[in-house]
Amino acid sequence: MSTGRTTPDETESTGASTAETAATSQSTASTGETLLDVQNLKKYYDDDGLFGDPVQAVDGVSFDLRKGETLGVVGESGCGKTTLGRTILGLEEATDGSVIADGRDVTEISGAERREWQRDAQMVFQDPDSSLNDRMTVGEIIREPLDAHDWQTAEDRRARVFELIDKVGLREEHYYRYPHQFSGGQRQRIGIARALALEPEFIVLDEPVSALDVSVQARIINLLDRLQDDLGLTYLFIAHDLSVVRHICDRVAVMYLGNVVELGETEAVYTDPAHPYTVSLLSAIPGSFGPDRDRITLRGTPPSPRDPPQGCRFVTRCPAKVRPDEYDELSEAAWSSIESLHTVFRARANADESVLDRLKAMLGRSVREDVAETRTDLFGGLDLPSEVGSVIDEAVDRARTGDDEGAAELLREEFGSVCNAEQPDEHVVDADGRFSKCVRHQDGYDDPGAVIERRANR
Amino acid sequence: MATPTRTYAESEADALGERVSRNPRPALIWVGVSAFLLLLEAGAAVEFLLNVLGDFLRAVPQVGRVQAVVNLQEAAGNVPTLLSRETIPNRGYYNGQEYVGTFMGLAPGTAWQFRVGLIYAYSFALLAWTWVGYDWYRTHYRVADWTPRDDVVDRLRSHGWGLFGLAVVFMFFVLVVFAPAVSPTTVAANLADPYGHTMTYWTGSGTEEITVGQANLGAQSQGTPQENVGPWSYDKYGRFHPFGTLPSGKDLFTFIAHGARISLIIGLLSVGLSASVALILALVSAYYKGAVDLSVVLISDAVMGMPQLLLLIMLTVILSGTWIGKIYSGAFVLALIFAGTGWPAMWRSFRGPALQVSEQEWVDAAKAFGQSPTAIMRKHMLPYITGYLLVYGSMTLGGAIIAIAGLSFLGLGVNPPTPEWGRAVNAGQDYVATSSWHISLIPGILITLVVTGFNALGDGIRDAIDPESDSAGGEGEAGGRGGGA
Repeated sequence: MSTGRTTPDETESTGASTAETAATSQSTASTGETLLDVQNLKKYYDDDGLFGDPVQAVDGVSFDLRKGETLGVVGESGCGKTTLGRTILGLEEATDGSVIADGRDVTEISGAERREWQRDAQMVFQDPDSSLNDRMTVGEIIREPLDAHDWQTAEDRRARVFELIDKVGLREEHYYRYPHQFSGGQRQRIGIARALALEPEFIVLDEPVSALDVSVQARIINLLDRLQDDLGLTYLFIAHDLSVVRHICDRVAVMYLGNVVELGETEAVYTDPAHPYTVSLLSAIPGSFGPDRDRITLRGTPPSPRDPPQGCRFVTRCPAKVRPDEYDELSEAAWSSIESLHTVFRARANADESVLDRLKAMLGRSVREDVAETRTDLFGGLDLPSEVGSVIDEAVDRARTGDDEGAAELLREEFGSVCNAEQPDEHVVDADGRFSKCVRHQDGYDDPGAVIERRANR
Repeated sequence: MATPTRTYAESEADALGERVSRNPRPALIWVGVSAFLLLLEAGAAVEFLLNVLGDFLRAVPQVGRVQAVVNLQEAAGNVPTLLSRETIPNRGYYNGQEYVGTFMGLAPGTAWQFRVGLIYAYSFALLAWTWVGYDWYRTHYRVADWTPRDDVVDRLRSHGWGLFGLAVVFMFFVLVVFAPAVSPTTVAANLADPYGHTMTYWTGSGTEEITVGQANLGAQSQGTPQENVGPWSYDKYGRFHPFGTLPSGKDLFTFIAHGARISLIIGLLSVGLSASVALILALVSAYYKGAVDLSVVLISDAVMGMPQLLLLIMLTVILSGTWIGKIYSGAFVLALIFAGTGWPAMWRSFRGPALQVSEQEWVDAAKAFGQSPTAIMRKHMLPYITGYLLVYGSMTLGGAIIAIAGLSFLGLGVNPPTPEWGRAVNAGQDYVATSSWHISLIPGILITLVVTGFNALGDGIRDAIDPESDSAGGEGEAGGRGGGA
């Protein structure tokens, strides 16, 4: 990787503009004022009703972004973090909610205001192989945003491109090369230079290093860090690499199934996670919980965003789920099997049945004998109390006659709790305003962390 | 990656003009030689363009015969052209001792060969010089030391089948542009108005003057050895016929050379029109997707559902009396019908790649910084489809040439007496098994050769653009549209 080689006059010009932007950023960063206020943002796909339920990619996300900070967004694949970034930028049309910047809702603007927002907010993409047009030279790529916005004169634009090339650590002669001729890290630098061209104040970084070699990742991260200091940028850093987020982010938002479940200062979240999902996610970092504590393995995969569970989105996999008092003595293994059975019923209820299957079910000739096998697989070696066993038997019977929805409903009613009933509110959990969406923060419930530990040791 | 550590001074980012002025020698040499080469044949090129323009204007009723164009055509005729029938004449007669009126007293056949040989040598020299110009531009003036197009050019250079196609297509183009010069005789004298022109010939004991029409009657190819003028032979009036004569006694080579003009113009016009429509629709439907895409699918399906042949017959009949039907002897209408019915097939071929490109992240990136939709289509999508455009364009062009020949074989399409290849095949079909076999066979072979050439060129370009698709595996995706209307 090349390091920036500067000629005297360039240093001068770079220095001048840096000083200028730094001056403005300082005045804003020091106040810590809000740059973006995201309120109840929703993005549903296929919501025209033609293809059944919409995909609820982002489902009511609210947070604010302060000038000069880096907010990390972490979560599993498909939790909606990329969609969140794209919706904020206007690349996707928001279904509901608002994104307030400079006193206007950027999901609603058009015309000149929209052009202005496009200048202020930029994006760096995940895959540097496909985010650069191979048929254009590096110079043309970086220059294109300037051309699109008629930025000053042609001469100024070219000077600006050379300045940017230098700023991201490329060399001047790269101006006339094609993206093919660069390594992944260099290509990502080109993408960053393009994002910086219009002097934005806010950049969405969509997993900017996850496609790169580990050795290159650190350099790009350091570059981003340095650029933030120089230019007073505000980052929304989308990632699934938790250690990178800890390194670069001031605050972190943890997303699960279209919801932000916890948001707070990075160090606080990492050292003392409040939400059960955050606890499980962080325990996935090797060595993070020390030798004496087991990793918390989450059951199964996240539910389909087309059909999120009722109540808390995390209820199907939560290691700290509130359980009904009467079943308090049930073993962990039994609970795990019950949750798995519930997941099976839900999945079956949502699966597309063929016409033939439906006809057979109507004629009473069900092909669903495999439910019994599932029951044996899950509860075979378990010693269940009789009342639990009979509930499960009834549910299995319902499923066998084709009523998967009824079976899932029965398990939900019998073994469900407050977690299945209502979406938890934001609960502020520390002095810095960190919030976590879990009912266990309410009075009368044990803390999620404590519950997880107790159950793990049972 | 071998990247030379050449450092660029600011000045190297200058416009092409400034880069040239810093090192003007190669550019000056190239421009000088090019100008010299072009001046030699400026007359022929101008004649060709004005001819096309004049034919179009003449057919438009409101305009009629534009005097300015006629004047220009006359002026172009006076431009001295080195490789023309005037400077190297092949028409003359034997006066008992020597040839009179031919180039340096050569036999008419030899003089004609000399002229055609020179014209093709000149054309290939011009082609080679163009390549030299590109090469010099790359070495002396282009700032980028490598572009993705270099790889495409390199792969095409080593693609034998594609180069064969390029050579055939180029020779066909030369035939079209230089049709008056490569023909042994002229359209006016031999095909259009033979009784208005006279010629002199050697009777065996003296010279005699006769109208060309009468001479043609004595040079007919009627299938018997007595009445036949085969390829590469003289008729009894001392005229050389490289491809023999038609049943009417007219010269087949002249007929074919001028027929090539019609074929190519219809082909280029129809492919150009349908490709533009297909390209624009592909970009728009791939960019906006959804309802826009769906409506284009429906329209194209509706157009494809129309029987092309019936439509052609109906429209040529209906429009034959109108002014639009007269443009270029009915060729213009044909081109429009081909374009109108041909774009859906092309659009379908472009739609896939266009959709693929529109899903690329760089399109998203361009949207993110507020690039306009038209600029995104032009800069970020179009370059990835031009390859397909060349492939399908060249293959469809071959198909159009076959289709036109097929139509005139059936007696439709281009009106007589305008020469057309298919009509020559038709005229000779009664004589295929006789000594006048050449009438059908030669145009037939030429049609096959030219269409094969266009397909080969398309194959070569496709392989050059996308090295992963080999010709064997790619049959299904890029089949030429042959087989006529």
